[in-house]
Amino acid sequence: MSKKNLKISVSGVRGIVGEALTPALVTSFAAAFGQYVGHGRVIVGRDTRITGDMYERAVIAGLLSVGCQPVLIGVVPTPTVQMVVEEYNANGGIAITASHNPIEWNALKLIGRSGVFLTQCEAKELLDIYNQPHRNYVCEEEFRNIRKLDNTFSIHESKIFDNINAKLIQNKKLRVAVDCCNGAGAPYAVDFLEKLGCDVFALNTVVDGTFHRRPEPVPENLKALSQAVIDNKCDIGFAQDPDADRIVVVDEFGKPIGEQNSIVLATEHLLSRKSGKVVVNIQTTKSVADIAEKYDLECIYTPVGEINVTSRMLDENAVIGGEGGSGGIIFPNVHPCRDSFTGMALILELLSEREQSLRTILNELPLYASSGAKVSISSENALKMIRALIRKYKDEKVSTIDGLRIDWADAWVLIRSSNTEPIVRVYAEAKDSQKAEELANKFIKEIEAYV
Amino acid sequence: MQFLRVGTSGMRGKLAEGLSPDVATKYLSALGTYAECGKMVIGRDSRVSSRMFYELAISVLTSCGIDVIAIDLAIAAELSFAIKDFGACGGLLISAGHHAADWNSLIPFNQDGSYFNSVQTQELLDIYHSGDFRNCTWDKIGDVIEVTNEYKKNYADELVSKIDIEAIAKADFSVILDFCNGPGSIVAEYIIEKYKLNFLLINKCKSGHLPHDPEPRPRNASQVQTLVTTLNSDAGFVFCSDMSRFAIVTEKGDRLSEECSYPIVLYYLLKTHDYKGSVVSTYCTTKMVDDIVLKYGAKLVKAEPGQSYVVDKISESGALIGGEGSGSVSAPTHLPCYDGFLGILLVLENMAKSGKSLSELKAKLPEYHIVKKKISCNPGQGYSIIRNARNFFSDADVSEVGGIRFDWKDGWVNLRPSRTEPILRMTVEHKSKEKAVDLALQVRGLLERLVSL
Repeated sequence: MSKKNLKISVSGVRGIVGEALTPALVTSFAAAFGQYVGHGRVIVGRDTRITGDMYERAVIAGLLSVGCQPVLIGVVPTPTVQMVVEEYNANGGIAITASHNPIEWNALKLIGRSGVFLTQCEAKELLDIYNQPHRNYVCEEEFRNIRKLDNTFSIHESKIFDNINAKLIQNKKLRVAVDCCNGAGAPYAVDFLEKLGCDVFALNTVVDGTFHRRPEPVPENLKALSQAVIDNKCDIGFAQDPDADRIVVVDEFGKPIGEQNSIVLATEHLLSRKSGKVVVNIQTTKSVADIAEKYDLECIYTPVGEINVTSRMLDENAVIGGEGGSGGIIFPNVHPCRDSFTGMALILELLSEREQSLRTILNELPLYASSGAKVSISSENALKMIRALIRKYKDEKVSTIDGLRIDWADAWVLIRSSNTEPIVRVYAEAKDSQKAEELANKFIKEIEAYV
Repeated sequence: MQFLRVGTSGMRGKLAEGLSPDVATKYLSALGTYAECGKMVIGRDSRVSSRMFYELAISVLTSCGIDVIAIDLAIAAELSFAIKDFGACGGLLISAGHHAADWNSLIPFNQDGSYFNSVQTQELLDIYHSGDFRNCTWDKIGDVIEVTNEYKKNYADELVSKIDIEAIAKADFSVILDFCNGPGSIVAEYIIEKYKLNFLLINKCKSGHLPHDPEPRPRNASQVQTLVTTLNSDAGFVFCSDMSRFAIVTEKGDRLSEECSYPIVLYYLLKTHDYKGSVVSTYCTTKMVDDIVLKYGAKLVKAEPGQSYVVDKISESGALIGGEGSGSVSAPTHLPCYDGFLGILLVLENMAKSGKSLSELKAKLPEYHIVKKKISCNPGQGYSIIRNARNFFSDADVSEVGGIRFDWKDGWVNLRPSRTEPILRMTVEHKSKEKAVDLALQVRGLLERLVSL
């Protein structure tokens, strides 16, 4: 069977421009979404991708055709769309962004009434509507007009300022480098950091529809940021992804601390002053659980996917949460969503409060070394393999929330098939990188037996 | 009912049931695939659903790699003008024209600013049916160039350069114009301001909601009639959404049949031009046209009804002007497209130069009485009924193009299946009013017997 680069799933619709992700498909999907959330306002925002305008128009047409009112908020971070949905009591929202995927991709992220992504159950209901051969297209008298809202990032920004000690940060006059990846954070990041009293050294802030660095904020794509931190003697460097929901940190020596450790810093900061639960996905560094244990608090794991983390956070009334593997920090006081701006503010607040350098703070935290790899395997074989491994390791501390995670005293491994490609990812953490690599290699060998 | 029609007038249909976003997307993808070169102009009327199709069209065409010049609210003639002005390879008009609320249409235009002809329509539909569409990668998709209302001045200036606007301004006519809340009032306001015209615009709010049935016909001209008589105006005009059609109200408040619009313009042009070349009409347009052409010794060329066929015939025969009974005119010196503005400005120019009132100009036209009726029939049954109607009249000349037509010296009958509804359209015209009514009754009786068979 030939595989098209299209994924219609509970996390929305995602594909490569020029292949299956046609305006026709996006229009039809947006119409199904409009039908699902009911006649009413739907907030539409997008990242900076050059294809964003094309898909935005398809989304507008789809929403209008079923009697919704599209409310256009333009190029904004995905978390801004989520907050505006809540602020304006909209029926839902659509963020047109393929997140950290390369420029040739685009996607729709679907936001429900309360400003969080659709849950699995909601998304399944939506897909049932999408899979019907007909839509409830409306007649002349039920058509709504289009609205535009300017400057909605100010809503986002003021929610953050309401929940942090801005004065404390402003007094420190930190030197901060930021790499916006020419994405949705670019129009706002410099101003935001300056409002926090920082001296800002910004990279990739031009918005021209393309990305001047590879969009995933992993260490190998952050060389320019590292250099900027060193050259300008910055206290810290931040990197955003194209829709500005993820945040990754570079220390004062220009060294990326790894996307796993953004949530580590946020957890240490929050738990050191407030008791409560932490919720992270199963792919998150053990460091978070260790910190929770240090403060005698509970760390709860969920399947991968922002909505899985946020809905559990809301249920548990958690104080902080996130997605380790993707630089996701979720601070529910601002909004239950991953947000790079909230992440930056919390980490700057931590630096200001401790009056220590970032590296000093990190050195006192229980960090792990990691090793990861992917193995190509059909989804069918992946399922068989994971089931077999679960049986084999049943006497260890095993978690099967999402894939297979095995925890030992100071190491763990996660084996999980990708939602988007026919591959299995192996991710291992241990106290030093050699041990992590050994652990990962051991499991790669075991998996290869099933390929 | 059949709620979707695809042909030389593009794709038109009833919202939701016919012209759904699904079929529209497919049609637009075919158009984007068919277009050879890079640039297309897109415009729309103000109907509430037009914005939806407009956004859809821009999205789909750019995905096919077409650069889109988006002129937003526009009448058909403005789009036609912009295509040539920008050197685009074609265009698309989203406008329901004379269709009722709940309808809309997507009308493709050529690079010369005319509707697609029947060959192009066929080629486009072959792509449409094949489902094999161009779909560009992220770095090849088209750009969108949004044009502001300021651009409308270019069309307006072009339009007034084709007529003696000074003469009209000098005559200081009081004129009522009804735009049926379509987009034409923007151009009108510019011309009025520039030339200090005493024109009153009504139904100009561009809300898209229709103040009355949008077909420019006497029954829809009552608002204009009331204003003309109360304000003692010199003329009143009613337009459809894309301004391809217009109907006239005289200074006495007479609501003229839309069939009179073309003859009044034609009479003026032939009288003042001493022209012996071709003039285009259709098989179901008033015989007034035939008589006027005969009187001035020009040559009449008949086309099938519909803008595409008429404009194609104008270009084929090198005609001075063409038009049809729905109240449409097109002059190749202006644009290869029906333009109600051109029509009414020629009428006003005629009034200004001749010093005659509209009633006097109407009185100059050959006297005919026209009766238009609809007869219900099952969808797809139309042509078989028409075939059986061939021997209705043994004393008439019979021709069968786009239906059937019986001709006598003083009158004629045309029968054709509607393109949009399960009905037969009957047009009867005769010098004698009594005879016209009689003929209509007679044909109706004969047809109803056939339909019930």
